[in-house]
Amino acid sequence: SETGLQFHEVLPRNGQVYQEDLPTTVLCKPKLMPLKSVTLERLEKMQRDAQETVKEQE
Amino acid sequence: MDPLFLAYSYFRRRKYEQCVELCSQLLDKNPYDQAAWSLKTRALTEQVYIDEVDVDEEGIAELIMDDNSIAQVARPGTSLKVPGTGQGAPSQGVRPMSQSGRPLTGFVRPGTQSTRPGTMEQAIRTPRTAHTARPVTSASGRYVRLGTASMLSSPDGPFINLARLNMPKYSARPNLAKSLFEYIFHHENDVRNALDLASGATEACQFQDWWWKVQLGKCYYRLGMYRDAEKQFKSALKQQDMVDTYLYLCKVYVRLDQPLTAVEVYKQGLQRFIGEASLLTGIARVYEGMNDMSNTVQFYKDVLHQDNMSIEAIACIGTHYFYTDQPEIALKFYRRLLQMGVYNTELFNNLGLCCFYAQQYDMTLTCFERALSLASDDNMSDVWYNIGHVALGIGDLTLAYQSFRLALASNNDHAEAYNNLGVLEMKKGRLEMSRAFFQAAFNLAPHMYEPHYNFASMSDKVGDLQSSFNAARRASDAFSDHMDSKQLLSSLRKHFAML
Amino acid sequence: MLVPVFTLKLSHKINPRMVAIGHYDGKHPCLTCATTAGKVFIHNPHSRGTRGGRMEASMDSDLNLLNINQAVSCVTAGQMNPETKNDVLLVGTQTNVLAYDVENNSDLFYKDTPDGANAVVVGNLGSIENPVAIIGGNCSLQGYDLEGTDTYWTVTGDNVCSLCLVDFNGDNQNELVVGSEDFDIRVFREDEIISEMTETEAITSLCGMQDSRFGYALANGTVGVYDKSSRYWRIKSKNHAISIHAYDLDSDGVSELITGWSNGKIDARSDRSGEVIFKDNFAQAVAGIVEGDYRMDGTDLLICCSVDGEVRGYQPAGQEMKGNLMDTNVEQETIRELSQRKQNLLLELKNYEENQKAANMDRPSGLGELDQQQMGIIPANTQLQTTLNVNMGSESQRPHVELFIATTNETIIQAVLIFAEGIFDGESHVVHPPTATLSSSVRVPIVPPKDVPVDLHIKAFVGNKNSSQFHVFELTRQLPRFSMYSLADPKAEIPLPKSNVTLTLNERINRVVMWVNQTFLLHEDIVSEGPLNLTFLSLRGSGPLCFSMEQSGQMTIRTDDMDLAGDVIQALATFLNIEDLQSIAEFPEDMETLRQVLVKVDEFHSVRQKLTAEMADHSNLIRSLVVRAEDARLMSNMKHMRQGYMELYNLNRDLINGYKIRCNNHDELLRCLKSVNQAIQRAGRLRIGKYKTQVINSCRTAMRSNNVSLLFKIMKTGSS
Repeated sequence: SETGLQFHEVLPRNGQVYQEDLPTTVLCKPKLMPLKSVTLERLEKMQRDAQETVKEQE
Repeated sequence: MDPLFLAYSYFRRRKYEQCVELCSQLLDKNPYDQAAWSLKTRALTEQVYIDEVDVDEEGIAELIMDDNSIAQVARPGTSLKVPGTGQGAPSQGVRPMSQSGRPLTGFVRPGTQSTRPGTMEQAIRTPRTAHTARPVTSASGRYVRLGTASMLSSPDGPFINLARLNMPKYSARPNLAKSLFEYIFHHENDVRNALDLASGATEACQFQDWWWKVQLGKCYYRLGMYRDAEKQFKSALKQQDMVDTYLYLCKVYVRLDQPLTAVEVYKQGLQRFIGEASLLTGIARVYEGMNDMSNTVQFYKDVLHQDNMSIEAIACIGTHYFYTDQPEIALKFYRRLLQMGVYNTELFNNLGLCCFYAQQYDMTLTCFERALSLASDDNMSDVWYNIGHVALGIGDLTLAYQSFRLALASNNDHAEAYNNLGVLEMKKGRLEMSRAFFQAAFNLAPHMYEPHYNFASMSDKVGDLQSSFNAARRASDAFSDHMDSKQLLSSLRKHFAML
Repeated sequence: MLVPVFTLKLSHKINPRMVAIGHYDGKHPCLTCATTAGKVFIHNPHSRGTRGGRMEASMDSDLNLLNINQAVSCVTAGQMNPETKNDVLLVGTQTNVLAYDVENNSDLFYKDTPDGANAVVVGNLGSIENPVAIIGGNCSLQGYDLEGTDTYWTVTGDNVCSLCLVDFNGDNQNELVVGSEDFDIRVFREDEIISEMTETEAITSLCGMQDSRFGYALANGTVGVYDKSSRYWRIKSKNHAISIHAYDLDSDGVSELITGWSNGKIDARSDRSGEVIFKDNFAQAVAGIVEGDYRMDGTDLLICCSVDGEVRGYQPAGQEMKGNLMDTNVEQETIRELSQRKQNLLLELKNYEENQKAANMDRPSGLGELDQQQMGIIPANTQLQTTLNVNMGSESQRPHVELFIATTNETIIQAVLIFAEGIFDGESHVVHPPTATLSSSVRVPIVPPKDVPVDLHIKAFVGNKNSSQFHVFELTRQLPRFSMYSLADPKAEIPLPKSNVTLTLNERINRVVMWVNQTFLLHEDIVSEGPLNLTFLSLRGSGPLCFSMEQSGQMTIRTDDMDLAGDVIQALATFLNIEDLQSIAEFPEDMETLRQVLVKVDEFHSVRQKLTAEMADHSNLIRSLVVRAEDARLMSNMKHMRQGYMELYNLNRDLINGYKIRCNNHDELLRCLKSVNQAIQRAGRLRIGKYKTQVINSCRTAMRSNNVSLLFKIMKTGSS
């Protein structure tokens, strides 16, 4: 995130021999898992129960 | 004890099955017993009752063939279809995006998992599992399935035969009509008959009863007749201010893709019901839909002022703090949830992540262990994926590798795990494997920029400039501000220009 | 020659008469037009620079389409909130009107308009504080303010076609000028009619010009300018005028009337004389004309659009071009026209000179009769007399008004030309009796279709039997308003009409008698002695019309035709200068018809609800089937796909049938609603002034609360 201050980098001209930019790879970020609402949980439970009842009946 | 009294007692104690049984016995003895009939209806309804305000599922059909929104291309920042550039939010470089092009949310309700795909083909091809987008074919389909579910609850055939019901007779009986309506609407999910009953009842009480107007509005909403629903809700509001009516009315505006109008109406509701948490939550959700994170967080904080137990608010603010580089504060929020008694995989996973990034290393692994023990098949992969991240953080590449593999074992389609495995393989030098992993990742999740960029960078190193160029372009499409992919693209362009 | 300063070709068609321009963000004007498939597009070329860099600046990205999902019937934009400068877009369809804030993508209001929305205008009306959006529908006018509350409602005679706000009487407040399908222009000061002008066809467009002047266009190709209630000038064309606008094109300080025609022509006419000062051509019919500062350089341009999406903007001519806007071609044409006229005048002069010569010529045998006759010389004291009579007709002729033209001596009338508005097709009539029946008198039957006073301009050719030259006599005769009614024999037994209107006048009987003498065609004036009792028979066959009046001032008008009763009362009130008049109306047959209509309206409403719900359900089913079929196709499961599409085909057919039924239902409902509005209008016309407004407003409240008995009471007694 941006802060209010800005730092200016100082790159020396003398003494720098070689600059190489290697291709980097990027990792996917850690994933926080969203919490489910009461309604959603209830819906899913009802659907699961219904599916089980159907399976039992077959 | 009088059997009817016993049945009521069961009803109040939420023992619906016993209540229904008792009532059926009473009705067998006397089929004209109105009290028993009414009680049985209500008990059956309560078994499958879901709060309609929260239900917002949009199927593929509604998303693609949507003629309700007025403006096809609204000004960014005024529409839910075109989430504007996040204001006050971290970019994709820090916060993972979901399929819908919005940052991963902290709290999920039925419907928020949906996406706005471009074409029908895209929509159908996207995998419909719990973690990626889940556009169900059509909302009405889900209601039909729910209806089937309720049919299973009464195996001897439906309690009330709707086809033979004399609607006008019941419309005129206020004591029976309301419970009958709820039964038809929630248990049978038969909107047409419900609408008939509601229209009859409204006329019978000469349009004086606000409750019937709200029910009419709900029926119209289910049928997709949003303007009629709007009219009914507004009329009900004129008669009687109720929080629920405001909530339903704003749902209509959200469907019509008029988020600013919805916020206006919520604010009007807030003037009548000062500090009502559900209205504040509504505003926060709308802003989240428009990708306006600063307002979202502001309003969720207001919600917490009023109702400091709102799981939704706490979860969303926690997520926001985590991704804006303040994991310690996020940790506080998630601990509060734990204190409140929330005890599930998601919470422990989040606690684990926050502990790790807040440098409370002692707690990290115990949290993840709890998360794993509570996890179901759907959730397992995400937990393992995050454990992999922790492993990477402590430098244990073997553990990381194993964790990502385990994530894949529970969910073969976990795109992020593929991507990170690809990165690990590259570190080990096995370029072919990493290429395969990256390809798998971006095929599964074309909205993520990381696998595209990685593939591009790797192809560039190997010398396959054409695929590198295509991949870099895709990465740029997914995340336009990514400096590295832009640089790669420009250098490749220069290269091709020279040829 | 004025060239357009910019031309655009938009990729959408434009519906005629649905063009507007609005400053939705308060600053930049955007052209807004209704196009096919129930959409409205907004053209915004100003924000190209401010959008994200990756969008190409193509024509299509300037167009923002809005889904209205119904055929649009009128579009306008205007400022409704006095605090912000953002214009609001108003879109009217047959069943609703939407007020939309384009900037914020939100509705201001979305209202049902059961009477349809044929025309809409936004602005300040009368003394109403905030700007209102006024929608003209089938026989009704409804006004909404910014929040959607209806602050204004009144009925008018017929379907409204066009509206404009003009300061008609110079009181610094706008009056509403309404053009209807029944050929009338009515001017409303809020909900009271202060002026009514009759034209010859439906008034399709109105536009305000300077001060109290306004331009109008009719469905038969007439365009003209009114100044208050008198017509300044008009022109006729065989093309239809689609759109009119006032704009000062030649920078002379006075707006010209710019007209866009159905053949693609645009012309600008001076508002004083109607002469054309500028012309241009489009490839297709013109759709609309607006004005706005489209190039954001400070000058308002005149923007014209055609139906195929071509848009041109014109700048007002610089001062030096004043009066020279026309092509040189047109100047040459003018010269040719003038020289033609010169020729005609010279010919006329030659005829006179010859006549003079013949009169002065000395022939040895004197001038014979034959010669004289050939010259067309007629006695100097010849006069042309005209009388108007009611002719009850015979088996071969319908009852009509007869115009009898005769000369005072033996000279004959060779031909008669009559010019009158509204009576003859093409506004003129020529009677040319065959040579065998030439005489000194001619009878012309005239059948005026409506009860309005008409001026007949008569030109008769008078001469001798063998003349080749004729004298032209010109005179004007006014046809009184109620000329299609003949006085019945007082002794004849005529059954009294069942319906009547009773009112009380503060006038003496002989004043009323004076009015009768003026507005009816009578052989001899009636003299008043004691209470009045007159019976007239309508030549159009709508039954008898009886007047009876007592010395006390109480008057009863008996007729079964409610419209006629209204006409009579209005005419009487204008003559006697009455400002307010209440009356009691007994029209049992009309009330019965109205009652039945109201029952039907209720039925239609409930059927409509059911049909709408059915259709919504069907559409949902169809949507899910389409998705499933696509799914099957993508999985290459052709059998399922075909099944899916077959089901879809059947469902689609059902949906279309349902829609057709709904359409029919809706049409019937509209017709019934229109007749209800007309009934209220008729009831209103039986009163004058504030009683009329009261009746209309109370009727409306009764209708809204569905109180039918109250409605009938108001129509009968004039108050609740």
